[in-house]
Amino acid sequence: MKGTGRLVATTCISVPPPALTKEGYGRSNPCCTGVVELDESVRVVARIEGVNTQDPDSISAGMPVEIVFHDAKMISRSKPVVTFRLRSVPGER
Amino acid sequence: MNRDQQRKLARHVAVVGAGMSTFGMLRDRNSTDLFLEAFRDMTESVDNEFDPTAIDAMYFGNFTNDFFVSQSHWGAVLADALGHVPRPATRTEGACASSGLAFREAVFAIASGFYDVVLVGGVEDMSGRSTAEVAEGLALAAMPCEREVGFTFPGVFGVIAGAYFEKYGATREHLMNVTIQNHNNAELNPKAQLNRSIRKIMEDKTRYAADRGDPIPTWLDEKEFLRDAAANPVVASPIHLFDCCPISDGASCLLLVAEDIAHRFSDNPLHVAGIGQGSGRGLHAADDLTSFEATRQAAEEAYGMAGLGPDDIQFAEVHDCFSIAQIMHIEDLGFFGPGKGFRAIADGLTRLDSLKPINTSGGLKCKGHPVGATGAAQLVEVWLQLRQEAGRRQIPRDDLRIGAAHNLGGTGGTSTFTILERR
Repeated sequence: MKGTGRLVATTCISVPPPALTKEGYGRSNPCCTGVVELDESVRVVARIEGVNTQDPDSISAGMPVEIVFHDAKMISRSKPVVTFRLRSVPGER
Repeated sequence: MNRDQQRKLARHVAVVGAGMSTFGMLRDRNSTDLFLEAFRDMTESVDNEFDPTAIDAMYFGNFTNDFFVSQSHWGAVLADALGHVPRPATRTEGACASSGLAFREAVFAIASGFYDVVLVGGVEDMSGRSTAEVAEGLALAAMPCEREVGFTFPGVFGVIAGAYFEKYGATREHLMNVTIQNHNNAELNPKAQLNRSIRKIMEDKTRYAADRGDPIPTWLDEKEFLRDAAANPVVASPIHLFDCCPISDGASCLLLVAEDIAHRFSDNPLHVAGIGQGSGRGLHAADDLTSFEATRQAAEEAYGMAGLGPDDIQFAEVHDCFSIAQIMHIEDLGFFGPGKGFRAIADGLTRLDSLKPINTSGGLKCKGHPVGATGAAQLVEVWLQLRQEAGRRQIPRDDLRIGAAHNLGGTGGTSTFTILERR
């Protein structure tokens, strides 16, 4: 898998779970999560970085993303969290 | 016809009693108190003489009182509180569909011929925890991959709402229609937790502001109030506070018997016409984020068993944990076509006095959502409506015969659909 795909749907969470509050997310810094469809047609749920979470309307379905793994302690284990960030595609803005 | 549409019960089952506690943030009562309140209410609803020692077995829905009040094993605890030890008591868990499952298991227990009289109920005691803790407790019912990336329940339904808006061109204004309608119904329900209409909430806030000498708000109508970010802050875009059900304590209870003995208990029993259940897989595996596979399966099974279709259902309680969910469910249950639900609500078709009343109780959104009690409580509302006992929120029709309740657990992981019929 290449690790590239496109956003299917997202939300910007202003009242995050405690583990994310500890990372600094909250009302003044919402956390974006969503569904990504990989180029291989597999869908995953993921965190989305590099988007303007203060303006959810600026984040739309079809935006191209690429995988980054984000080290964080979620639930009881520490393991990489599936995270994507926006990527630029020639010919698209 | 496929096999899901052909399943029948080996013996018919009737509902002969139904009751519930008040729903709310009730710190003066624990789960046992709440359940006994629901049980007393149910007992009073049984038309003829009812000896509680006739109860053969009990099924109780509870999601996660283990987490909320550090106590599990609610089958035994409630059986003891009711004085029914050593009769068998079983707890069912299906997240927010826990007592939908309890009802279904009780129906099977009677239909099998093994028991004749079975008590069904549900309870949840949530408000002793902080909002963050409750959110953490509820997230136990999300799919593991959803929790790991930080989804909350409002977040899951935020994604779903975004997908629905994108696919069908709905907007936040359409979610507001659900909120306004459910608040209007709850204002007529004395047991509802949020029992004020949006207009009444606006009037109260205006009066408080005047009393405190604060600037007087100038909302023109309900939607302007709901657009006001100070009054209705975002939780997980596009889901705002007034799109969410509250944190609730409460209990609910029904008495089921074999149909051939129903008239011993009740002059006006309700026939269990159809019951269905389905399961689902979470956001990543949904081929369409605007529909729940579990609900479609539950509906197919229940309609098949009943020999009925969506148009036969005269009114329904559906699992509106969030406003967008109400729109999805009325489509998944076949009441309105895909992408048509939000327009049907906007056109007033689901109001109390209209074609297909939905959530006459105020729904989870306003009646309250003590999760383990919800599925059975929805059926209490169907009971009241079909028996013309719903008071000020009674659907104004004298030909009510068929009503239904749809219960959903987790992020679409479990769903039940139950059709009751007055014969």
